[in-house]
Formats: sequence, C-alpha cells, structure tokens
Amino acid sequence: MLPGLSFRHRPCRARAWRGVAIAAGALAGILLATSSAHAQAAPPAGHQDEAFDFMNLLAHHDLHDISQESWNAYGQFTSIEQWKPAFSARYSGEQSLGTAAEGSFTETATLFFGLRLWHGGEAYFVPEVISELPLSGLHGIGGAIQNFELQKTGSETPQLYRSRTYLRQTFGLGGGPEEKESDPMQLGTKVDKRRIVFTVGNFTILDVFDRNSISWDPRQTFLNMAFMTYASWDFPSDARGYSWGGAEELYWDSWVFRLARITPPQRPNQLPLDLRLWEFYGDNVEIEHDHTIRGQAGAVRLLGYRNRVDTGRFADAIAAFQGNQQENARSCGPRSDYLANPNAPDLCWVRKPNVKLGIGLSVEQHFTEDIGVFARGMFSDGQSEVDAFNAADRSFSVGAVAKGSAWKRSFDVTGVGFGMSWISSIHAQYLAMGGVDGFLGDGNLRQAAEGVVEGFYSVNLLDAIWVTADYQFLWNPGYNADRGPVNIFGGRVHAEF
Amino acid sequence: MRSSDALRALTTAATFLAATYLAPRAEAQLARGFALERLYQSAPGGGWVVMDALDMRGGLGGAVALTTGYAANPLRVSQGSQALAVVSDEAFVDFGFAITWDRLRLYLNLDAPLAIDGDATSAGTHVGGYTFVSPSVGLGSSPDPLTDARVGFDVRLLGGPTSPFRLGLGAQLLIPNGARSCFLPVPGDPPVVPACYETDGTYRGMLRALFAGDIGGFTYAGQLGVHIRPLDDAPVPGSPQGSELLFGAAAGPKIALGRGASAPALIVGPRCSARRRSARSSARSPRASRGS
Repeated sequence: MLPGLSFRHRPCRARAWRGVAIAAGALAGILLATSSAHAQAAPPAGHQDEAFDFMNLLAHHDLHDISQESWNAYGQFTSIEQWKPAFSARYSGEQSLGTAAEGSFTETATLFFGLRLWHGGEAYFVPEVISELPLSGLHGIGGAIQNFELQKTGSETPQLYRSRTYLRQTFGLGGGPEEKESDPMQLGTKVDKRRIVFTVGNFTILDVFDRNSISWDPRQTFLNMAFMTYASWDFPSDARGYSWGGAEELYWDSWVFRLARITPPQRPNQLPLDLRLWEFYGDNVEIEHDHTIRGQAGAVRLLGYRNRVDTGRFADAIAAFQGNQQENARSCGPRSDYLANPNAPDLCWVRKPNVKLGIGLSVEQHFTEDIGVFARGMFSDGQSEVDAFNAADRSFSVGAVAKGSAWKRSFDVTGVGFGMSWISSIHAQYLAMGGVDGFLGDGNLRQAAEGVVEGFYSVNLLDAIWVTADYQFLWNPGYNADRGPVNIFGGRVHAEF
Repeated sequence: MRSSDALRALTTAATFLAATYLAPRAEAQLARGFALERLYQSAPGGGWVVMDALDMRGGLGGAVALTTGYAANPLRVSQGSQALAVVSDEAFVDFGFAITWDRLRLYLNLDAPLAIDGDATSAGTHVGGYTFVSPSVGLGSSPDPLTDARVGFDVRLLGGPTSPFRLGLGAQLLIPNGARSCFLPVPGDPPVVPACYETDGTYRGMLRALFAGDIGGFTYAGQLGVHIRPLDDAPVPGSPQGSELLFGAAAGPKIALGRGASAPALIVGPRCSARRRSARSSARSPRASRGS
C-alpha cells in the first residue's frame, strides 16, 4: 500500500453489513473452499484506512482501542486467474513452459490473528487455505513467474496450513514515539523510534526484510514475482516460502539494521525443513536508510545473503556426468527430485554442503502522495542450484505504482513494471546439456536474458473489494532465445475484512 | 470342440480367474488411517476442559487459547502375541479463538500436530494380515500442517450467567484437512514424508446439550451429545466404528483469584468425560486399541 492516504471514515450501517457479508464469505472460503490452493510468502499489505475491516468497525462502536491494541484479527481472500495463449518454440524439454494455450489460477483465504502477551511482546498466528494450478507444473520460467502466489507444493485441492506462528519482542531505546497502525500482523501501538525488535518462530523472511512500501504484495499490486522482491534472492525456505528461525532489527532514527538466520529445506525446493540451524542455514543482512526528498518518502536498502545448504554445483554435475555418463538423471533413482533426462547431467549426484552468496540493492521513492517508483537489483554467485526460491542468478526490476486520486478513484491502483533476470554461464551450460533444475529444463538452450513487462489496473468496489485486470509480456522464457515470447492475461479479485 | 476339451478349457479359465481374483487377497491389506486425536477441548473462555460454563454475558467479548497435549501409544494393534504401536507418540498444539455476545459463544479451533510417530516401518509392518505404516510427522518434516478445523457455537438457553442451573446447546462442524492414510513408498520415487492419522477425511459434526451452574462457591458442568462420524475409524475390521455418544460431568469448588465477576478463578475437582461407540468383534482380525 502506498503511504500517504490516511483517513479513517465512519462506516455506515450499510457498509458494515456489506463488510460482514464479505467477511462471512471469505471465512466460508477459508474453511469450505473447494477449488484449488497455493499460497505466497509475501507479507500482506497494510489495510487502507478508509476501507472496511472488523477492527475499524469495533473501534467505531467503542468496543476496541485500535491505537493501543491487545489483540486484532484481519482476513483476506484473493482469487487470481490467468491464461496464456499458445506460443511458438523451436523445441521443448521435460521442464519447459508448454507451448499450448493454458490456464492457471490461485485462490487463497487467510486469517491474521495478533495478540499482545506482555509489554513489547506480541504473538501472531496466520492460518491460510490455498488452492492452485500453475502453468506447466510451474516449469519453464526463471525469474518472472507470472503469479507470486503460486507455491511449489500447491494443488487444486484446497490445503489448510499454518503459514506463520511467531513471537515479536520490542525493546524501546528512546528517540521519541512512533505510531504503528493496526494492520494484519501488526498490533496498533506506539513504539520508540529507536528500538530493537526480535522475531522468532515460523515466518517468511519477507515479513522482515525488503519491506518495499510500493510493490511487495501480489494481492494488491503486481502479480509477477519479478516485482515482489529480488528474483535472484535464493532465501532458504520450505516449498511454500516459509522458514523457522530468528531475526533481529535495530531501528535508529532513519537507519535500520537487520540480521536473520533461517532454516533451509532438507532437499532443494521441497517442503521439509532442516532444523539444524548450526549446520545448514541462510544468513541475511540488510541495511536500510529512510529519507525524504522534497517532502516525499523514500528508502534505500542494501541486502546480502549467505546460504550454507545441501545443494549441487553446476560445474560438479557436469564434471560427474562427463566422467561417468551412467551418472545421469534417470539413474539417480530416489535421489532425483526433478524430472529425469537420461542423456544429461543431474545435480542429484553432487549434492553436498555448499555456500551460495548474493548482494542486492533496492530503492524506492514517492513523487507525490499517490505515486511511487521502485527499483531492485541483485547479483548472486550462480554456481549452485536454486535451493528454495527460483531459477535466477541475477535480476533487475523497476516499476511505478499510482493510486487513482487524480481521477477521483482514490482506492483504485494501477502500475507498470519492467523486469530482467539472467543466469550464470555455468548454469546456462548445464541447461544447454539437457540438465534440469527446480524450474527449468528445455533440453537445450540458446542463452538470453529473460524479460517481462507487466501492467495492471485495480478497481475498488464496496470499499473492501478490488477487481484487477492484468497483462504480462514475457520474452525468452527460461532464458531461452529459442522459445517465446509469451502473452499472459490475468484477472484478480481481492477482498479484505 | 469335444466336450472334454471344453470342460478342460473352462476349468483352466476358472482356475486362472480364481487365481487372479484371490491372489491380491493373500497379500496384506494396507490399513487406512483416521482422525486419531479426538480430545476436543471446549471453546476458549468456556471455563472447562471439554464442556462449557455457559456464563457468557454482556456485549462483545472474546478469548484466545493455546493448549497442547501429548498421548503415549494412542494407537496399538495386536493379534495373539504380536503387538504394534502404529502411533506411539502424538503431540498437538491447539489454537483457539472465540467471540462472545450476550449468551452466545462462537469459536474456531485449529489443531497443529507437533509430532506423530509410530513403530511400524516405512516399508510397512504386518500384523494379522494387514500392513501398517506409521506416520513420521515433526516440525522439520512437516513444517506447517493443520488438521481438521473446528467451528462451533455454544448458546445458553435457560438461566443467567451465574444461575444455579443453566441449560444450553452446542454444535460443532469439523472440516477435514490433513492426511488420513500413509502409503507405502514407490520404488524409484523420491521418499515422501509419511503423514497420516490426522483426519477422517470427511466432514463431521457434534451436537451437545450442555448444563452448568454455580451454587455459592461450588460450580459444576456437564454435557450429553452425539458425535456424528460417517467414517469407520477402524484400521482393521472389528474395531469400533461410526458415531459416538458423548458424556461428561465435572464439579468442584471455585476459588476466585481476584475481585469482580470477571476475575479469573481456579476450579479444583474431578472431571469425567467419555465416548461410547457401537462395536463389532472378529476373532480373526487384529484388535485395535486407543490409549490417551
């Protein structure tokens, strides 16, 4: 959500009942959903203050102190439908984006519970239902997967799971008060501008790091993951995008320093997590500086990560294959997590503790209260396979998001973005030999940068519902100049309560 | 064709069909799972372990609860001298959320398994002609599971919030989620985390008549109801199956830990609750028993 718009309204009775109906429908959706499910790991955007939600309704009736909350509860429902017309390709492999026309969807319903435990102590619990159908089994696209809600373990059968359970403890260090508004996973309260915040439990690293205020929630702005965070940030997590671990944040005036250690998956891109944090882990460091230019807010963030995880290096896989061609994917047996090409190297032969490094820079700046731009770029070493996120080794994205105040539709949101991602030369050589990784495997490769342009317009209805039309244009899907381009048309319905 | 040839052909075909039909029956049948954890705690703020104090009052209120439980050997099967703890350890944590208004309590409970383990091997252990596979659920292997979601309400129909006799009604709907049955590993496929005995895989319901009261410093509560379960919960034939009758009663002195009607209180006393199911037995089938 863009900061700036901040005005609370007095919900009239009709709006309240409309909201109750929305909430009841969404709650029923959570518990009784019968279509597909897949969930994203991005943190929820803040509620627009004028939109309907239960906490505002209770506060309006003097039943809840929304500025100093002991508890809160929010919810959301999002349905995303996408369709890809047929496109041309010189060849396809076992893990290619299919060339035939194809549909995809995700549906999620989420409840966000927050509870104050003691002074500075907060607990959050977030159950979620997800149902999903990815394009081509989530194969064939590198850093520009068309819907960030998609999960690697999703199915069309709705799955109820616990996305987050964590504790947050804040220690004030002075510097004056700062108001934290009531939102999903944020109790309304006042904190010191200088403070230390500890987060421990089961969460996604995106709940703490890369908190870009313009584009990070596929339920409200862009759909493509290229614009949600760094596409080449291989942060350890389970196949849904969540981890166990701890994070520490130091807020000191306009500076924020963040550290975190989180659990990786036991095997790349799978759901089970390795809880041996002393042996396998993802370490993340971020420095943020907030500023204003001509009265408009902006921020610069520098992020670095170092993973020590059980993965395979592309060079090792190629060397193993060239040394003994019987050690191919088909002969890996139960050790192979991906589809198998019997005439190609496979990472399953060479998995061992490896280190992966990356560094990224993110910039955001508001031009007016309602218009903001952002840019992110990251460079990862690209020597080893993707462990948890997606098949990109370098990435860059830029975009702009605006609210519709200028045309008297202040709840409407529109945006346009451009993203590029690349893979390392050794990664490309591995794919060109017919190798497969967690997402890619065309059987061959004519290396090129993968690119995407996305535009969307989101219309607000009934204060708490947004209906979105979205278009994406992808070229060189899977970093392969012999495939594509691809058009993807999408629609989204999102409700909050 | 001569009649003797026809008879021979017919005999051969019958033998083949019989062999084909009977062969799978000679193999051990894989036992299916069911919702093993069935200690359904009362709604947050309900005041008792499984019943409801029916003391809802005033305007909008609410409660949250975090409870945990452990069961040792909750599912054992045996036949003769052979015994197997299909589930030997089971630990859950329950997240509960309730809203009260006047005399009504609405609630949502979500159970998260912390650990479910057993003694059967991943390749299956045979007991009495059945193959059992034990679950192996833990925070690492299954980082985010939730089992059946439970939504319900309790309403006070008779009496006030502190009356000596209060009568109410409660209903719950259990929405299936999680894994019912573990499966044998497929040769050549990557190993799959075995998760099972988390759910019946069907919708279930509970209807309960509730009563409670306060007489001076003494308090009591009880319930009588039915748990409607479409599924035969038996891992093998001959075990109890189907719906259950629910009974419960509890009483004790109530020791206030503060002043005012809303002050927390400590209740010390016995609680008894039980389920009764229809049962059929078979001497040739292994016997399943549930502990807690």
